[in-house]
Amino acid sequence: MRHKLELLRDEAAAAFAAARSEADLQQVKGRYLGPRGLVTGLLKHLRDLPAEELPLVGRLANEVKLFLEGQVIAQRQRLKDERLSARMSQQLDLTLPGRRPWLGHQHPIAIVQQEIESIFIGLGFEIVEGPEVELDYYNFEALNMPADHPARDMQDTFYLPGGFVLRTHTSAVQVRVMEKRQPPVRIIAPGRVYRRDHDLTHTPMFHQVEGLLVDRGIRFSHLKGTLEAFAHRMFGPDTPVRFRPSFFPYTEPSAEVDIGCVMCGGRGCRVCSHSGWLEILGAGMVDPAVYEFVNYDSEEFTGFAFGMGIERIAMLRFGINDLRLFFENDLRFLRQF
Amino acid sequence: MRVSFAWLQEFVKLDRPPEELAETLTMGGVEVGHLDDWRGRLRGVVVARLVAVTPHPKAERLRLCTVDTGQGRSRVVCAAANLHPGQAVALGKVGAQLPNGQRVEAAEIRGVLSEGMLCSSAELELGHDAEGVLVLPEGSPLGAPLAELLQYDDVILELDLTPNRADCFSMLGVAREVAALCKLPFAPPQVNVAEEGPPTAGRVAIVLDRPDLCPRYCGRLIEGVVIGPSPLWLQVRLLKAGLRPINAIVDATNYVLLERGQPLHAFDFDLLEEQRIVVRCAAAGERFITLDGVERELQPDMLMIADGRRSIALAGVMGGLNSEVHAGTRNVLLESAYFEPTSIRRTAKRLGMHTEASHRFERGVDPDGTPIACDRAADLMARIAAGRVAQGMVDAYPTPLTKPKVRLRLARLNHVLGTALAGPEARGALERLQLPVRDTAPDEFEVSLPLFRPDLSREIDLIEEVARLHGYENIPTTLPLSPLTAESGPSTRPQERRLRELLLACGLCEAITYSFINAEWLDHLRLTRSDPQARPMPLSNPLSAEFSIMRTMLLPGLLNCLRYNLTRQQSEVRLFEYGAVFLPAEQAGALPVELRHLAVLLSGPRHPLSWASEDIGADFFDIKGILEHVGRGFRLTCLDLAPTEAPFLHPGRALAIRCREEVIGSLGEIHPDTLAAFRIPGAAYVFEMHLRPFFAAASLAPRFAELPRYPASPRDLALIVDEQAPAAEVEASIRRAAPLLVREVTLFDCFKGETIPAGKKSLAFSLTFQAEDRTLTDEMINEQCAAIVRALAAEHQAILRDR
Repeated sequence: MRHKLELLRDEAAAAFAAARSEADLQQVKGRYLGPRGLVTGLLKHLRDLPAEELPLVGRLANEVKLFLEGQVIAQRQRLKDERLSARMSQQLDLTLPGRRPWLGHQHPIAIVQQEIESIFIGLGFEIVEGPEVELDYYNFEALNMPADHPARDMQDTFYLPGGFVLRTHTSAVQVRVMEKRQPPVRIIAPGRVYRRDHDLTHTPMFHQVEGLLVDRGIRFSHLKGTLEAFAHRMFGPDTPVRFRPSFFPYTEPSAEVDIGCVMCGGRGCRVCSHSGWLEILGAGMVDPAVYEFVNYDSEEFTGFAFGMGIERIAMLRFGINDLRLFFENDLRFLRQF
Repeated sequence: MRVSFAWLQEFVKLDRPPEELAETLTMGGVEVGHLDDWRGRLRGVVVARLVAVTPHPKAERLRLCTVDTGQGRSRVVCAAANLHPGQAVALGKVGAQLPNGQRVEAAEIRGVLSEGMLCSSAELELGHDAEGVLVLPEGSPLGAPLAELLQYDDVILELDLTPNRADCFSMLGVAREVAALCKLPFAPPQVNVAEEGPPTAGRVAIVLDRPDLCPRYCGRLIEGVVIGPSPLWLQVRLLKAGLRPINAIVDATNYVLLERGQPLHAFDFDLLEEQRIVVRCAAAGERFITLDGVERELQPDMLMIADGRRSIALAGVMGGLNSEVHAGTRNVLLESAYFEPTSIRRTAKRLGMHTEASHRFERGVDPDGTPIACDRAADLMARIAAGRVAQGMVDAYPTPLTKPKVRLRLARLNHVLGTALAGPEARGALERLQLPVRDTAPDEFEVSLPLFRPDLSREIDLIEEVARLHGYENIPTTLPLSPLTAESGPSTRPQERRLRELLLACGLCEAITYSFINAEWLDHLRLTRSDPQARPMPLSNPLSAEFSIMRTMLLPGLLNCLRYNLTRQQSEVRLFEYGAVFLPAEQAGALPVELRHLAVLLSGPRHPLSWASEDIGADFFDIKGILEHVGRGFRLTCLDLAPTEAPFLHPGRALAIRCREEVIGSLGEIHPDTLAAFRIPGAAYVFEMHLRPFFAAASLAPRFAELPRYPASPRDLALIVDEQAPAAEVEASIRRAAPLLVREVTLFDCFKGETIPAGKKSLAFSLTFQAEDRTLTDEMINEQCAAIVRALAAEHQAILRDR
């Protein structure tokens, strides 16, 4: 019996040590230590032993059992260690590129438009939109440009049957808004505009943002303050800004707004025609003639309007040198934004 | 307008260099777009006298010229034919610099040393004659630098004038503006004309048929003129302004046009019938040959200048061939008139003509300056063309034009500008502009408006003038105070922003294409004639066929982008565009309908090329997935996709996009014929939909649902169904069979062949069971599964697949 026990002990220990996996070990453990296991079976025969042998063999049997159970724990730890070290030693080529998803790209005009909108929303303006196919009345007449006005030459117009025009500027939205509301009116109107012009520096369609603020006591100094604030938010707080007298039929006094050239820092380069300045905006106090079309009392209300080309600002912001790129939609261009 | 700095000096004593003057003008509202710097372009060319001309010993065409500059003689080899001893010529000395950049060097020509060169007018950029040398007027001072003599060391300021500043289309007008901006004295020069001979009045009659279109017409007779070139100094001034010298008479009219902004016309008096000038409108169907030799068809409202019998000039635009000054002209009738701007503008525009004269007339010339300009030109003709100015001027001016005086309130001025200007400052600014000002009340002025400023008529116009002269840079910069408003328009910006976010997250690039497209592109979609999208609005005046119709869909533009990119080796094309499409109005006279659309296009690989992913093309389910993704991003449960047919989509691979029962667009693979028409190889998958109903059904505001308290139990269900059975209907049956406990159903496998009987397919769903109020037991789930299987067997003859 003692011999049998010792043989079984050595056999079981060797089997545990040979186990290659946790499942393997579990199975081998069952074979020896399970309810129907070999060791368990042998122990059942202890009661058949002569009484004088019982204490000695019984103690030995107990020792074997405890030993084997300890072995199971030890072997389990061994397997765990082996598994860990096997995993640790597994080699990945970490220089392989990662699994990249497609990257989406917003159009640069949309990026700049959103930026402009958020600046003016921050200043208390509201976004409105108007139709792109317009009546001559809103695009010209009510903006103090009657038929045969020389200023109409500044904007070569596309016409549709029925006398409609493709709006030549977002200023067309001004009168639509003032017709419906009483001051204070504080809006910006972004969108597509169209002019019959196609060359290196003109595309027949482009984007503008119009702005309008009409209220009691609005002054030219406010126009300067608001647009300077815009320029500083858009191009940086140190950007020089200057206002020059100009002419638009629907504003008076009118101004053009220049910023110090962002390409050369004002020293003069090809982009700014060596003047050090870049024109980014047209603006002015709303002409009293426009108020007559919307029945505002020009003695009571004053206001300013402004308009800017989004492409122009996008070109300056991103250093784009060819206007036509915006509408070719070449992916090599779009993917840069 | 090209303004010579040197010429300007004649009218105002300038106190700053051209660069600074340009800055002053620009900041004063008269933008100087460019400085054309002539300084140093001509150096070392002097007046010399031709002493002797002898043949070149070795070359038949060349001659040896001895020239004298007063400081010494030199010998020059020259090929010109018009060389005569005694002439004054322009000698380019060794080292001279010519306007075209050429430098004169000493050179041996066929064995003879030539120390300099005799210049032609072309070489000096004074004319086109490159054959003969330029012969200078007799008495030109020997040795004098030509640059000085011709005011060649000059800077030309190119003004970009706004359409309101009619007054700056003349040297005098610009000088007035310069004087005002620089605070310099300004006094226009006096014009005197020496008259002789019988009076004009008895010999020329002026009849104004249309005084509304021609309020004033002045004429003068200049007799005995000799047609020849005008003096060089005058030619140079014309050239600097961009005008071509022609002869002394025409040059004199152009010179005065530049000096005073008054266009003038010289008729050959002897060609006029009945010695009469009649200003009338054209006859119906009248044809007229202008002096550029073009026959023009006239409209009855076009203003004409006629003699006793026939038209002789297109008023304010161009003279006629039949009365043009020519080499034999002896007597000249000079016209100086004021025409109504709108009439001239209309005529010029309709005839497609644009002349120096029409440009000024349509902006408005000064009716008070008309007779002065007439005198000035007559005087010039007397001096440079040997004419005699007949006594007196004929001046038809039945109703003198006037402008009302305007009241300017200082308080209003400061209110509009945000300034605190004092009365004298405002008054001073207006007076510097030569506007007469009178005090009428404390801080109130009455301002007379001269006719030379047609842009001034209201108080606000004067406020602008004061602002300009005060300097915009001196107006304060402040932020406005304006009450907050709660009003907010029906902007869809939040939805648009969300839409962009979702599309960008799908790895799409945003495209912006033109709103007008090529009509052919729309044809490529093969839409049926009854489809409103097949009836686009044409542009009345398109730039080209490529931009001829307003788009009714975004798709043609995106397909064009696809082709554009494919031809540039860009094959990973994933694009979207968001924008308006245009449909004709439903009722006559109303604005066309503008609808916001979204279109998405996929073509090329499904994944970026990588070692880690399969290299396969995107397909139908990629585009469908993007639409579903966008729908989910807007929490849309009512988006319904059902098989359809569309002429531009591949048969059997097209879905209608429906939102609350309304068809809002379609999705699918582009039809091979459409691809072929666009010359696009491969395949393209698209969808396009109308966004208003989509946004209306969408929800941007999340609604919180309590997190489940009890565990979820997953079960997989593998079924064999008929090949034709739509997966979506099988899924719907599952949900219907166990509505309370099935939380999620996901189709995770779909395949045919091998182990599956012919005509059948296998669908494997992953189901998640979960209850809100308890933990589900195995028995309950098994019961539900059994119910589902029974329902599927009944509805789809589905058989559970062994696993």
